[in-house]
Amino acid sequence: MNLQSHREVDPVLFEMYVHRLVSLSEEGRIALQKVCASPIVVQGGECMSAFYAADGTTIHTASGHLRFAAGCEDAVKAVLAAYSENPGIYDGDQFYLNDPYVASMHVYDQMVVKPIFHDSRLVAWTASMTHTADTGGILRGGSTEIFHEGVRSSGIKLVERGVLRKDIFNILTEQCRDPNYVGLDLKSRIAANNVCARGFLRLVEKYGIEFIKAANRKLIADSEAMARARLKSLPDGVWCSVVHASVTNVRNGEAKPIRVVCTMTKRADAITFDFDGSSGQNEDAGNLTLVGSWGQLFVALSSQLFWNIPWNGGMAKPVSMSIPRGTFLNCRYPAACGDAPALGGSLTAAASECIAKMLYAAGLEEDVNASWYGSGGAGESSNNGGPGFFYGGHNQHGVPVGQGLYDMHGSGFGAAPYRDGVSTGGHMNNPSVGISDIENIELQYPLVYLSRNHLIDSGGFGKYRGGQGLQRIIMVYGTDDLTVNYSPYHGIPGGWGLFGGYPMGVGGHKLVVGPRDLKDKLRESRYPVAYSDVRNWGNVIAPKLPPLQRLKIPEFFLMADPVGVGSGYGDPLDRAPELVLRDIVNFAVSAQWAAKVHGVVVTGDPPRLCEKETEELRAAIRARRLKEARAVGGGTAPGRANPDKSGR
Amino acid sequence: MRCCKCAHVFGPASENYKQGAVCRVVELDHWLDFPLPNGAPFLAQFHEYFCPGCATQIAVETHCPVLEAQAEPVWDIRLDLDEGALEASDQSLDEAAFGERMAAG
Repeated sequence: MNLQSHREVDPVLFEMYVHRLVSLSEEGRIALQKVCASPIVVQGGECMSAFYAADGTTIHTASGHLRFAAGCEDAVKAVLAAYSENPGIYDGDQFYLNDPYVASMHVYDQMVVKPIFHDSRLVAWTASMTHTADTGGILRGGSTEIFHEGVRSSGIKLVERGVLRKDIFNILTEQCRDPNYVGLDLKSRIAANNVCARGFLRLVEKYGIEFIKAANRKLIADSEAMARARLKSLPDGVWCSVVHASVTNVRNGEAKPIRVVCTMTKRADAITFDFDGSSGQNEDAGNLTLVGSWGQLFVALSSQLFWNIPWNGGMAKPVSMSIPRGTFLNCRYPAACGDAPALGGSLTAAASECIAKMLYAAGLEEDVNASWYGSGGAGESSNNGGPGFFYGGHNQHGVPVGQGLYDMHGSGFGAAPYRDGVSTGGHMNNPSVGISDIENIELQYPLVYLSRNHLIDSGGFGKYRGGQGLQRIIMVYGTDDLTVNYSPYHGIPGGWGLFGGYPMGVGGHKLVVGPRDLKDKLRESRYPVAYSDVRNWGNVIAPKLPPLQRLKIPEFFLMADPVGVGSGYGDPLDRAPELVLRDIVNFAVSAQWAAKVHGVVVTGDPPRLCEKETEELRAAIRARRLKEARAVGGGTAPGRANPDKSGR
Repeated sequence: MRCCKCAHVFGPASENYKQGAVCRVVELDHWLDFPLPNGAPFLAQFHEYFCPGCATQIAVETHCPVLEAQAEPVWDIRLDLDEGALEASDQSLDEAAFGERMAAG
């Protein structure tokens, strides 16, 4: 930390400047969402605006997608390294970039970065990013090489000295299925950058460029100092997490389990994350580049460990990451990366477990959460089994669509050592997410929402319950040309419970249902609203498709889609019976699972606690645990649960 | 490392505390009420770890037998302890002293 630079900065002016910078970033993000029309951005909030120093170091990232912030720093540095001389970087330029081998995670995460000049000198950068689902490549789920995934650029000058280059704009849009949508996304990023740059220059005018530079140095240095102080206050040690996921075996179309192994070492004021032991790279799109993995780690760092430290490049300085080349977290070119975010969640989850246990060891219970990435058998992400959420085809107006619907942003949060997790709280990726606006979706896409509500029994069981996720039942309407990405079911839970909590509840799998007599029932205003009931409305469609093939969904077919949940904390038998009763009354937990996992017995309508039966059932469950379990030490094989489902 | 409920000794802090626990494997198609929609087997199972003294569930791990032939428990927490603390943890604590310490919070 440079003491001299701090002496240059008036502390009151510094605070005013920082607050203004934060507001400017928010203005940029809002500009993105106002200009854009994509539901992913406008409703889902998959966007970001941020500021970077002249050398590309992040000065401040706003709320907005956290891994996008890390990605844009890499993008700015890449443009500086590659294009400073040819074609050169000038006032009024803006560069487009979406190559995951250079910055961010996959080609759908698209950045535009803008240099900010003052008195003809480069003084800073601003950048904006959105998830843009259409790149003209194979529809999601089918790629095996990066070349299949459509438009990809490691940096191209989209705006030249303030003038939009029509030739470049056309190149980037005309290769896509919906050039209007892609074009508007591009323009929204340009607009956001213009808003941010103008605002930044007003600050330069108000405070002077030397103050701005010193303040930016201080902001970055302060974050580093705060991050190091935070680390120094935590116990030294090694923590380890193993999280599993699944991809598709491209040779036979079957599910292929993979795993993330994270070993986190904290010594003094530095911390390392080593992912040695993680699975090798995959032949489908289930891969992350090294920069993509860093973005996912940044999500865990900013939301959990350094949540109250200004998020910028300084915060990251005490952190190092090591991932063997050739693992799916550091794939070799030209591996496909389309599913990087879905699998990257497993990296974030593994790092989060290590961080949570370190914080718990430090006694910081208020900062501890169980996993925010819990999922049932099929979970929330696009390749966790069954239909995903990336739809393609034509909508009811005959317009081609290639979009994702972000109800997964209604995921539950992990439980804490002293309270339940928040239900439908959001998503760890992004503090300012939203979920799909049903009216807008039904206007633009051939989908009708029949229901969307909390899913009973979904939150991870524990002394404190993980937050419930939402579920939706959607009917295809107005088209017979709709497909969705589809992957084999595998039954591997996502996330992790903490100290005896379960990673997930028993909410359910993603389903496609071919309906029986649905049109007749609709005429009588009858339709499925409860996930538990949807199978009664027709036949579950779960074909074994050729590898990577998308699933066609005919008109009037139903999709039932539960999203991610929070994982649980502590032994479910330690949950206060009164809380379990409240769960039953509020439809968070069913009476069946209240008995099965919490050992709580209720009777009557409205339900009442049966205290004596509860005490007896809990004693029986504990006795059964000890009867069926085996000692771990000494090489004895673990015991197995009796498949008798009663009295668990 | 002791159970904070019943004082069962899992083992010294220099080793994986789960080695002093008991473990039960739960097949997910038994635990859940419903099979996978395509009838395929669940590729994962839960390994539930309990305190042998009071049967409190202290950890639930997810394992994929296809990936991990040996069901070794994950050694998830290894605090750096100085030599004095390690020596102290290797010795059995007096029960009364432990009870006093727990009561003091």
